[in-house]
Amino acid sequence: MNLDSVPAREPAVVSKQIGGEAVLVHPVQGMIRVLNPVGARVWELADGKRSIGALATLIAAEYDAPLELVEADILGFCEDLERRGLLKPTPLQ
Amino acid sequence: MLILSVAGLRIALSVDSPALIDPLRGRYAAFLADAPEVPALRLDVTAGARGEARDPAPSPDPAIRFLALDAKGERYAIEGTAARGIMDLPRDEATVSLDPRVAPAQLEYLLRALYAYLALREGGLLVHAAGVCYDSRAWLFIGPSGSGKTTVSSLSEGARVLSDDLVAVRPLAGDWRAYSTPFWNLESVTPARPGEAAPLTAIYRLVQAREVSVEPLALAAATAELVASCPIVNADPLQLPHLIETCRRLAASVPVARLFFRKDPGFWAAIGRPAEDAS
Repeated sequence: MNLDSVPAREPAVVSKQIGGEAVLVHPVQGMIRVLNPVGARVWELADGKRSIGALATLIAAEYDAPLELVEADILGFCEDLERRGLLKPTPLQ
Repeated sequence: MLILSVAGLRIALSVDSPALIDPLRGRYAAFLADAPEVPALRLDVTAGARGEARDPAPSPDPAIRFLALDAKGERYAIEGTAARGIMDLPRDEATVSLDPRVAPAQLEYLLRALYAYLALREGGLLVHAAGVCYDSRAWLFIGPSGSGKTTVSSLSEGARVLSDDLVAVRPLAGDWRAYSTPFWNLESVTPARPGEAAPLTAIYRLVQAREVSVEPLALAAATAELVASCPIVNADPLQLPHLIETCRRLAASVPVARLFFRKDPGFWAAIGRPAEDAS
């Protein structure tokens, strides 16, 4: 993945926002994961239409954080979720 | 016909094999009811599906899969190593054909699974947990196999144990109650009376450690731990939204924490069981 990658939530994953965090359940893999509020926001925004760079720009603005740091954090976060089968990259439209 | 009653949920069990019915009557004797109330589910069992004559004896693995036949999660095909059938929740009925060579094990697993679906349908849960009662209060201890559920049960001197493997919980009048089940791992502890229930005081996720401590869980983490502790239905994508919401409601009403414990009864002091409840 890179900043131009467009991540999408794995359709098999069932998720629910709870108390600002998110609970993700992948029933096929038997995996359950809790995302903190920033992760939950990224998960919400990962709709297969926005690039990781665009996601980072939104998050940096919402949290008033330096864009370069946010880009690196979100890229790493998305790569981690991809390794776990929770996110998948989609081709650029 | 046998009427099995767990957590107030009745399954009317009809078995066509005399060779199977007597062992079942013995196995679930303490949970059999005779009042002719409307059951939550009627289960018709045919013990005769031997498969092809050339087939070897089926695997002893009793696992049964529930394959959704619709998009709502209401009708399922039941498939196991030696089981075939249908579960139709809107019609409150299930039919299954079992290979008689492994029927008792398959039927035990099937009943556990059916109660997982029924409990969730009724707004409750069948939880992979040890349930421990002191006087009129219940505590649940959750965690995967090997985490210490049976150990905690046996370390709870004077307690009545609802089960050391699967406990039913249901909401009742703004409260959550924990119920005994016939689904046990070991018989090494004092079982609660069949049908016994008590208000649920707290739920602890067991973590073996050198020192005892308690770490409260935030709502999302608590919900996730509960979802992980509800077998069968937590692997069913169609039930997951309802399951997650039910677990969230339970976690919002009953404290959920990690319990770091070692193999002695000292954890009860950390949990804070009131002195008047102590035996």
